[in-house]
Amino acid sequence: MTEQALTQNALLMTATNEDALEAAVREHATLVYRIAYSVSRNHYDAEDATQETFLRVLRYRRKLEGVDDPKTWIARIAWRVAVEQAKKRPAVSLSQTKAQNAAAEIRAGGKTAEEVAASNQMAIILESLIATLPESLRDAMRLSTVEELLPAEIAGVLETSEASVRSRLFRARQILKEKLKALEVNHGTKR
Amino acid sequence: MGLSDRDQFDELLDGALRHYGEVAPRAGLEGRVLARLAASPSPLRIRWAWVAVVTAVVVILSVWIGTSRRGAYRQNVAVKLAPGQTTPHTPTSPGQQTLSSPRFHPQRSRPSATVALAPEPALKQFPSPRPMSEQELMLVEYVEHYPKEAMLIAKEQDEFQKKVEQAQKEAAEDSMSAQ
Repeated sequence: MTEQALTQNALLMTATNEDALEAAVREHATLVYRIAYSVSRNHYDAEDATQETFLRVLRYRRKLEGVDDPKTWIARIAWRVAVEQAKKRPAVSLSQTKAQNAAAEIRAGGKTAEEVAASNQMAIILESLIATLPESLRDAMRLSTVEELLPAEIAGVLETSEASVRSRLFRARQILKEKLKALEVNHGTKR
Repeated sequence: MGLSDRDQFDELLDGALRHYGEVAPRAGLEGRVLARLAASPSPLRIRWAWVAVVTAVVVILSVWIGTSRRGAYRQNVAVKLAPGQTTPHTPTSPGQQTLSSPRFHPQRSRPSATVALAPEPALKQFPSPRPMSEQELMLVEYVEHYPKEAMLIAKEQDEFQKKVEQAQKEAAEDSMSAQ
């Protein structure tokens, strides 16, 4: 365990003290929010999930005594909360047509690769393509888009090995690349 | 599609995924979360609430059990003490006695349905004779010591009762004639 993790753990272990909980909120709120957003793709739902995550942290803080990595522990709670909320709500998946329309707009736009990558159309295409991935690949891919999480931490959240996470990410990327090729989004982009 | 295409798609995917994950919450998220945490009841308060609820349930249950047992006990005693009957009911056959008699279920606090449905005891006098209360005993003692006074009081009371009845009768007749 790193010194930072030890300090953080000690901080959260004394969470009967309100300052410690406040520190945890200030340090991890954005991470929790991004994890929730990676699942819901909706700001309101992500904020609800963030609130619920910290309520659970408050409720189960006694369990922290045996926790090695508080960041992963909180991230796992956030992931579970977000997945639970997503199951409760009706699934709103982007249609294939929307992805194709977005790809057509990119082809017609004449943007640079960087502009394409940052465009709303590309976000629509990615959301649609990630949603069609098999569940295990999709979970790993969604968490990998949260920049604060390393593969080892994603493994901790999904309760699997780091090697498994890397393998899933590799396969997910292969599939996404193939689908991007099929949509011909590189046509019309400036080099 | 050549090697350059593969590289191009890798770059495109990397860039797209990086932007895909770049999301920022609305300003003041931490403040809103902390406000919600402050508004939520503390675990200590929740624990005390649970203790209070469990205690209340235990008290209610024990009172209910105690009341129902006392009622059953009274019923049982009333059946057992009924004059003219030594047992709760007379079995017609030895097999029936084994099945229905409460003597064979000493662990039960409530009398069985058979006991409750037992035939009424045949009483020689109704209502059944009871020992006199303290007030009744004092009245008897007074009558024994002062018979004349007791007689006068009884006569006065009798006359008063007659007057009351007469007044009630007249009032009833008046109301009938008024209608």
